[in-house]
Amino acid sequence: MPLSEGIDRLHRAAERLRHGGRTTAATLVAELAALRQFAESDACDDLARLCRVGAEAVQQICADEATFQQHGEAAVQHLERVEQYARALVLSRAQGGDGADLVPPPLLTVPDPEDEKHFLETVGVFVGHALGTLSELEDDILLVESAPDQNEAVGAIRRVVHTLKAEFGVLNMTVAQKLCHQAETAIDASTDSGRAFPVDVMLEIADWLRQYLDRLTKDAHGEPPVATSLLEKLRLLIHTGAAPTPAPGAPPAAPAELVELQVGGEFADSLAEFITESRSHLTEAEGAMIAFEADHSDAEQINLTFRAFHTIKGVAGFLNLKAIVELAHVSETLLDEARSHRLEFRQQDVDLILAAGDLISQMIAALEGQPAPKKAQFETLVKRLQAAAQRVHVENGAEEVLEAAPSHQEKIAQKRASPAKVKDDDDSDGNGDGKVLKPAPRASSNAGGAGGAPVDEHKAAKVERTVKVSTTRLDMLVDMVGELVIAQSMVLQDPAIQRIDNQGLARNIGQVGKITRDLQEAAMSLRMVTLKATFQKMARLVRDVASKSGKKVALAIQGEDTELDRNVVEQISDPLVHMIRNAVDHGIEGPDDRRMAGKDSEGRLFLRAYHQGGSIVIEIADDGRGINKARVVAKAIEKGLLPAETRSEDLSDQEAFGIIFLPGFSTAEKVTDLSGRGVGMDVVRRNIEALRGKIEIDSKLGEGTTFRMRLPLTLAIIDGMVVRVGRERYVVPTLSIEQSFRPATADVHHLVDRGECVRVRGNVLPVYRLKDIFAQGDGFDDLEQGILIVVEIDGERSCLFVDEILGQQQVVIKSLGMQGEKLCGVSGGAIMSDGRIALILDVGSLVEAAVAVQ
Amino acid sequence: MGNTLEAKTKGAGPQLAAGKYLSFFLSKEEYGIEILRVREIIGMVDVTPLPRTPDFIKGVINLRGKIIPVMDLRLKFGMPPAEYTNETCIVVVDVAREGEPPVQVGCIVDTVSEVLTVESEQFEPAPRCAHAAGEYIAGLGKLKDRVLILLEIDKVIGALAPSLAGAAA
Repeated sequence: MPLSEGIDRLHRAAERLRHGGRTTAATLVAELAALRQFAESDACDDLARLCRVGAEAVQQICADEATFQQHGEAAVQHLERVEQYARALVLSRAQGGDGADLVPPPLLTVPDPEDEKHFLETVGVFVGHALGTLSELEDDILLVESAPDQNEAVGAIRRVVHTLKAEFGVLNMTVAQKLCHQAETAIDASTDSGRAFPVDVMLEIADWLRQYLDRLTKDAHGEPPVATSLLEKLRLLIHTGAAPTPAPGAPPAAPAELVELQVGGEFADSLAEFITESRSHLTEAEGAMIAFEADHSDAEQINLTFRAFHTIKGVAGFLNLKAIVELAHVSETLLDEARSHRLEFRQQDVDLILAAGDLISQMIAALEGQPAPKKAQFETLVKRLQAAAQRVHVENGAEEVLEAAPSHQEKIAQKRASPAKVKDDDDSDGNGDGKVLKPAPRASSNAGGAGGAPVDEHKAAKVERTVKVSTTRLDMLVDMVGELVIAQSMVLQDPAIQRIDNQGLARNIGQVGKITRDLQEAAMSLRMVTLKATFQKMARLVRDVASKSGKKVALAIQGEDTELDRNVVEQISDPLVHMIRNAVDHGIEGPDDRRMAGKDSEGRLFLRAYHQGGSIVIEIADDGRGINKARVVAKAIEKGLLPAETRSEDLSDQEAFGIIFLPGFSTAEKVTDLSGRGVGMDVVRRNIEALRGKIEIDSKLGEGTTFRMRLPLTLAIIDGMVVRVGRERYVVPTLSIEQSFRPATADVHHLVDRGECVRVRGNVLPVYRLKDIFAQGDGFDDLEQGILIVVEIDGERSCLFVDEILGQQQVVIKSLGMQGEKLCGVSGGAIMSDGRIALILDVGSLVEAAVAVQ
Repeated sequence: MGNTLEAKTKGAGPQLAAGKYLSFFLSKEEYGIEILRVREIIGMVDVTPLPRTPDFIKGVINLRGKIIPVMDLRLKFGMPPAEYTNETCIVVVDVAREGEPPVQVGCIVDTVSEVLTVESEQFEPAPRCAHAAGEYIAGLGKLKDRVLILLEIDKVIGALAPSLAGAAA
């Protein structure tokens, strides 16, 4: 057993490195090279790769004493892990396994500050992107669960997993890479054997990935969570599934499955040119096919495509690339039949040619060290092309499969994405990764191998083109536009400008104003994101909570494309989770109760988002048991939140339901016995109010409950009433204002020791003077001189006294730059058109402070 | 820059770095803060008072579209207030924050004097006398003809940005 001998020798060399210092490195490198040879001859690709990269890294580390001091220990530890892996591999082989279940350790790299920076950036971008794909993944998994015949969704899942696998691989995160690989194999196994899609395991994997990605956001070098049990589950799935290609139980002999691509012949030097040229020919052919698709009478496009394939075939022949020649040849035949009008070129043919183009480009990528496509896939496609040329139907439902193919525009998008992914790991061993990175989706789960380009294909295919920008830069842009708006209005209002009587200037200034406003709007829209990801998360939540509580709940989502400020979307998630959990857990009855109440045993939950009057409304509606007003009131009395003599009939529905949001109402104990709606609703309301939103409840006993959240579109701008007190101006959020009026002397009452109050439409409301709360020296003293603004906070109304109302306007909210400490009664500042600052009032804490002042 | 790295400490006091200092006056005394911490110096502008804050926090100003708080160093050090004149300046100081863009805080001083180089051998530990700025003094800079009171600016600003004081110091 040369392999185990090699391992022993490696072990001794590593020990010597540890004790003998860097001078012994040469032996170690030699042992690594020897082990690599053994590994290669035994087809242990991963181990060979580890040895190769390891030897390089060891050489680098031992090149000078300083580096060795720094990284020597890491190298030794790495070698120990390699050794462990290698031993496990030997053991597994001895027992007839293939070791495919083993996770190779990450490759040894010498950290270089520059690389590290690059790595951190890459991880950052990847995690951000991956979290997005993960939501889609979960969504697709749920879709498959709800309707098992979702070939397209299965394809999408597989693509996402595949993409993630590749990306994890690039980032040297082997555990996750392995997990994704096994997941992919399991998906294949299930589709190939026609078994049910492994929804639960896939969801677990999604959870695991999310957990790992969360860790990575905190620490780019974070350790992955434990994956052993998941890997075991997958292993079982794969092996009990007995995928048809490899014999049951036998290891998938990966290298044999792959298309062989050996460059040979006297023109081998011109490989690089061939690669570039062929790519451009393929792009051309693809463009032509799509043009043909749009206009079937355009026979010239078929000609063009034919020529492209013909050229590729010719050059590939020089290079002795038999596989490419064969595929190009059969494609060419089909095209030739079409252009000489011996057969009618149909949609299926277009799809086939496109698939052939994809496969060729994949093989070309393989020449650059990318994994080669699978032989089976290649053969199927060749057969289908031949059949098409002879107009024979292929038995394995090829056409049906093709319908699930991504549209051609998508393929182009994939094409574009693919070169970006080319690894610089130019592996001279050819298919060095072949074993782990299975290249392309199978024909059965995806159209004839479209999708050799793993990175981003799913996303690129669906979404319009986007650019990733760091939020800091975005905020900076928004800030600067805000400044521009202010500067513009300062210019406009400058007396010197206003004195000039010149139509041209006025027109130009007007134009600048318009552009500025447009720019502001555009800048604001940059911060907007859809609710899609958040809502998808809720779909998952509903499923989990429902299955845990033994209920059946159907969730209907509407308006997930509604856009909101990124910050709002981030902060809305927690309250939503709370309310949805409540709705499923308490609101919707169990199946038996529902049947007794004459309802469908499956509960219904609606999650809607829509625009209404400049704000966004998010609704959570269930058809559950509704809120029992009498019991809410009884509970509130019991808790001392309402006077004991309160009768529920005296309260309006709104008032009664509002009790649910009171802090003392629910936190003390879980009020599940009540009509549900218990846990932490005060927190929900506080969260929503922090977003300057409002929440209301509609409920009918026995019919269901609707929670309605009204949220501002953005946190950056607020609609406010500008008021003046003395020489200061303040902005009162319009949302909290009910009305304003000038009080009549007769309506004002002074209460001994309790301040003053005023009668407004039959109600007596307390009056708080802003100048007193803020201890401001100037401002009117006489109520009749100024204006009273009625504000409503927590359902309680009170009046703020100010000198005058200057007008209503939208202002950009700015932080006051005071860190750590929250100012009482003030939520931020706004720069007014004259460049001075007006404080934005936080009415809630203002009223609290006012009560304290008195 | 090279010099500033060779920070020299005397006793257990805060680190003082040799290099350039901005000097300014409060009443008759001359103070210094590290020039690297100074973002800019502007003349007195309109200050919007912040209600319910200590009196040394004069309020907030609009610094080219950004709102920053300003404090009156005289009041901060418990000195009698002075009328603001043409000489009165706001020294805008950068407060570094970990992982976030720095924030600025303005300090109102009677007048800004000059930029001086203080060598490490000119540092003296802060005397243990009851000076108004006592706890904020990092040390003294003994120049040829006069003495500069060197401030520990993070501690001074700490009152405005309590959560930052630790991180920035």
